[in-house]
Amino acid sequence: MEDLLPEYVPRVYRYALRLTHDHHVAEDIVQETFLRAWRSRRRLRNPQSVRVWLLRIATNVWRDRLRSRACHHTGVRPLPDDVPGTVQEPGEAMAERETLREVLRMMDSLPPRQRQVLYLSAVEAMRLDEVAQVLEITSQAAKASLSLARKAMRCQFGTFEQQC
Amino acid sequence: MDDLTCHNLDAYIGDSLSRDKRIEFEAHLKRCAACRDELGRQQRIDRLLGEAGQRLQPPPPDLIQRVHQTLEAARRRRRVVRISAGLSAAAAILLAVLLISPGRDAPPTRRIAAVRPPERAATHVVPPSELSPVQQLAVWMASRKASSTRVVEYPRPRVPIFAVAPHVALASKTRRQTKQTIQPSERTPDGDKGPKVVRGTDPFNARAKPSHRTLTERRLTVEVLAAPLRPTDHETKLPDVHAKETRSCRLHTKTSSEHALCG
Repeated sequence: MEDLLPEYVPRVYRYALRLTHDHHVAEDIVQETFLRAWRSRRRLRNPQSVRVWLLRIATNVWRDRLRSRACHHTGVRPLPDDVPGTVQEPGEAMAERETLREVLRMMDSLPPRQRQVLYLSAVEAMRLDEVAQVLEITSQAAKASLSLARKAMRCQFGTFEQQC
Repeated sequence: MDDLTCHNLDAYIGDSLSRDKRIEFEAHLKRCAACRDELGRQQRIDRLLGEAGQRLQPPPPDLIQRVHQTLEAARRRRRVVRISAGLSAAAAILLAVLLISPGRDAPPTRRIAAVRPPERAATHVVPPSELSPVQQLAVWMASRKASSTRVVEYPRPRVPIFAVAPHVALASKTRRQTKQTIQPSERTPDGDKGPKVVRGTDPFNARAKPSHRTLTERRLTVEVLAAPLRPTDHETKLPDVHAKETRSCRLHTKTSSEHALCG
């Protein structure tokens, strides 16, 4: 289990941060995720699917927190230091970073299911069946959510481009 | 712009169109500027989100170490729980063995008390070192509830105990027979402390006689000489005049356990 930490702690942390928009809660989710993973490590039969397995546990931890604490982070609260940049950054790179921040804000404004599906598909580059496993839904439901998320993102991004 | 074909944009992006539909939509893209714009916008979004995996804020530097410590703590807790469970199981097994040892729960009866042999009659002391480890364990188990005990050795009965033990007449005969064999030098003074090993005739068997078999076939009985440290319920209910007899009953029930162990 310790061998997995360097590679998968950042992944789980970013996913949790995208779900919760709170650094401390995201850290708690990471700790709880790896604790649950360690307790149920014998259930992992396919080592190739560690990423799916860990992100599914993280999703369940997040759901449990929502149920127990009734604190819903809908994603409207922006993260100020979401995409850190360098001090001596060229103007083009800075503009690209601002665009990325805007895209992330658009993604955060989506409903939770669409946000999760889009994050796993676009950021984690997962296949639809893997997304469905993480969220414990059917592939058809994942496909429908992804289609809606893409359409909403294109709509918002078109508005953003017109403003620019 | 063909609306029906434009609706296939998401399916085209998601690579879920059939080969014919895909060829048809690609032909449509050459004619439809709106779909080309949408497709270009989606590709840019996907590229930006794909880069976000590397550009998003990394976790705190010590998070991996903290996760590692959490797992270590969980591992230690599980180890302690397993050790505790093992000790509990061992204690439960030991307790069960002590509780189900024969004779503990046998109710005292006056009938058995009536065939109790005369106190310290026809006995003489034998060093405890003659006992085997199993016998010593049996003596220890029998002496836990009493402040003073002694161990008596009887010859093996020639007739089954159940055939003679309930009869008071045999007991009186035993008492008479035992009195005849008492030697003053073999009496043990009252108030002896600690377990002692003595030999004598079996009061349960009226026809039993001291012989060389006593030395080869050891049959031990533990007798409580002083009051138990904590009397049991049925002992406290009896009048004081019968208390001694009641304690004697416990001796006989313990006899069976001794036989089982020392056999």
